Amino acid sequence: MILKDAWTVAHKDLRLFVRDRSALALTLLLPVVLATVFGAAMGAMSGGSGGAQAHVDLLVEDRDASPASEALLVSLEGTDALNVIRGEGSRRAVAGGEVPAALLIPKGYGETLARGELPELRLLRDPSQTLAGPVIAGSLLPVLLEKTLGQAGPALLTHVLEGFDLPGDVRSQAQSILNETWLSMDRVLSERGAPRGEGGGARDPAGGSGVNFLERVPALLGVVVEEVAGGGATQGDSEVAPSAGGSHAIASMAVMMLMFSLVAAGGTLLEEQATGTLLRLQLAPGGGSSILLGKLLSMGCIGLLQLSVLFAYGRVVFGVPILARPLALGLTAVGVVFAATGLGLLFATLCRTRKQLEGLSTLVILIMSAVGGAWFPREITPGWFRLAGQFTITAYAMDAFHGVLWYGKGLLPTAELGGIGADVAMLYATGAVLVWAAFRSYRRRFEGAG
Amino acid sequence: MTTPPQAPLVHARGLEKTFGTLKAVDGLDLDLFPGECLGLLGPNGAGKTTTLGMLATLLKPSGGQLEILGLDPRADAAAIRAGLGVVPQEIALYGELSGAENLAFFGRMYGLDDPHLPRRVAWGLHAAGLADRGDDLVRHYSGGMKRRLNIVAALLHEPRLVLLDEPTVGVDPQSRGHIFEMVEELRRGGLTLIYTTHQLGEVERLCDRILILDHGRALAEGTLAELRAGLEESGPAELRLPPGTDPAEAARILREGGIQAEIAGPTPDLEEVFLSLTGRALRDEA
Repeated sequence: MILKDAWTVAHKDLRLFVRDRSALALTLLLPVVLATVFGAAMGAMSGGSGGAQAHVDLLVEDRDASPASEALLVSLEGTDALNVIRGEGSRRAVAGGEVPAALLIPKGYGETLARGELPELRLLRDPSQTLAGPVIAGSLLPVLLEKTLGQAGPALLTHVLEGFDLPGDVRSQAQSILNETWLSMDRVLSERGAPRGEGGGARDPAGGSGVNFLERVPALLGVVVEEVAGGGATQGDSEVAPSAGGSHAIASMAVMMLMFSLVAAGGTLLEEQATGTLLRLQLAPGGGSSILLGKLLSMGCIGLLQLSVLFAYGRVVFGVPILARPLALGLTAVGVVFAATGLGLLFATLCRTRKQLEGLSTLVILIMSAVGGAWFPREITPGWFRLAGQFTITAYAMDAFHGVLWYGKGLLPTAELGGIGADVAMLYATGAVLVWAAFRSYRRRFEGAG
Repeated sequence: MTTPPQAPLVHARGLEKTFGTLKAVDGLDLDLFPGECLGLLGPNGAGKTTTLGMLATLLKPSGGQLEILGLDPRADAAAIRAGLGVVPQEIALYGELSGAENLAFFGRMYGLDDPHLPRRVAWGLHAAGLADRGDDLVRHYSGGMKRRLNIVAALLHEPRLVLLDEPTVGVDPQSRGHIFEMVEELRRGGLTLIYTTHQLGEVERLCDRILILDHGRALAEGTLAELRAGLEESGPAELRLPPGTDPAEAARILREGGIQAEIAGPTPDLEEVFLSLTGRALRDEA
């Protein structure tokens, strides 16, 4: 009897579930979509295949312009995971967030190599680009083994042997043993680092089975690794040292949670419709425009309050420099809130029920967060992924927030740093389009029945 | 010296409203003069809600002529709304606001401000019998209290024309009685009302004139007496007998007097009039 009743209840619940298309889509479609997005991004990070692989930007500043430095450059360009950009101003580019890392080939690189000495290469890296580092390391390792240590190493050994003034046959025997040893070392390091000829990204960004190049190998290969903090990090206004991870976490959570809460706030329109208060408001002389404007204002206040709390927390706990660029941060915050509010209002006017709204918003916001860089930096994702990100609010919001909070950028570019003005402008433009669309949708839905 | 005829607050001629292929209102003629209370009756799907929607300026007519408060709703919707009070069928209040806060909010939406607004809020709470509960959250109110507050929320701005859409749904007899008194008070104050309900006794008690709609058309319109007369024109005349009279004995006496008479039952009430016009079949809306 109990089982029969239980089955009756279950049957009813399943029937309701199947008829609730939003719940159905959310349950079945969302995991598939997110798995696709994650798969594409993570596959690229771990050195996926074909065109889906990520290309991490590496600026190479060649101050030597010798055949040896050119050979190094060509080898780097031959790696799959790196997008080598030849240029200058490497420190500025890293500090401004234009590239996650830059390799500086010093003047005299070729001559130093020819002397059998290790030239001092300098790798400037942005510590906030935590995932880009291992990819760059994994690609640099085999190239440097071949082009730098591979050339200088045997020469160095020969030079040492000469110092011992050994008889000819002993010396040639010793040279042979050392050469063999060197080749074995070279082979081991290469196999541990990344497969030669394939470039490839770091197999284990956490450093499990792969060589953590940035920590262990630089000295061996003659590379000095220097972390170049963003401009914002040096402008910290808190007693806590600014944290790159904290800055990214605060920005990403701010954008994603803001969209969730503002879409939920937009859902009050549907609640008001269900309870009849919307009808009463529509009957007031102000009509639909005042209702939507009122919603816009209240949602904006909620969004700004949420951001304020999150940023205050970020300043106290992560040392996020929220007061370093108050105007740029303020305008960015208002722009993000404006765009997210527009999205929330539009969704509320498009959906018929709260359930529909929840389904649609969850799907769209999670995808935008993944593609737009809230979960992992877009710099390490494939080209199509980055392109898709350009159509999301998240991407512009993340770039603007990270630009202000980590790189210390203002609205307008300076001699040292780029500006976030274009990103902020995109947020306001997107917000304006979404709000306009929401008004149109509202009129069609709630006032156009006549 | 004769009094010049007053302009109607609602004037409709050949009013139409279609949704796709469905004609919800089909050629409705209506005049409502100041101080009148019109009962709008009809089975489910008759076109009452659509008619109210057009009168409230929420729906645009598909055809015909319509003037509300002397204005064209296509051009002057906002001005018409300022003079309209609409009591929706749903309890359109915010449960997390107090009664006073609800009234203050809706008053502001209709342009009321200090110092008029607090006075009107106080009036509303008193009129709804909630003077001592004004600071309580509405979600703590009973169904009847919410209904009463729902009505006064539409009256704060002192509208000239009030549309009441089934204002007594789901209330107990006491609250219904209070609502009747409120409506009667409004009538005594000269307010013009349109009252829709399925409770025909309410229309009999409160309304001067009655409009019965079905399939989007006006089946009958007039006072209750006129509607009764219309029903009786084709039937026998009414004979009123003193209480305690045996109808069979009365019939025998009439026959002995040479009058072939049958003694009918009591005078038909509005419900009988309504059902004879619209039929007894159920009209469940989809």
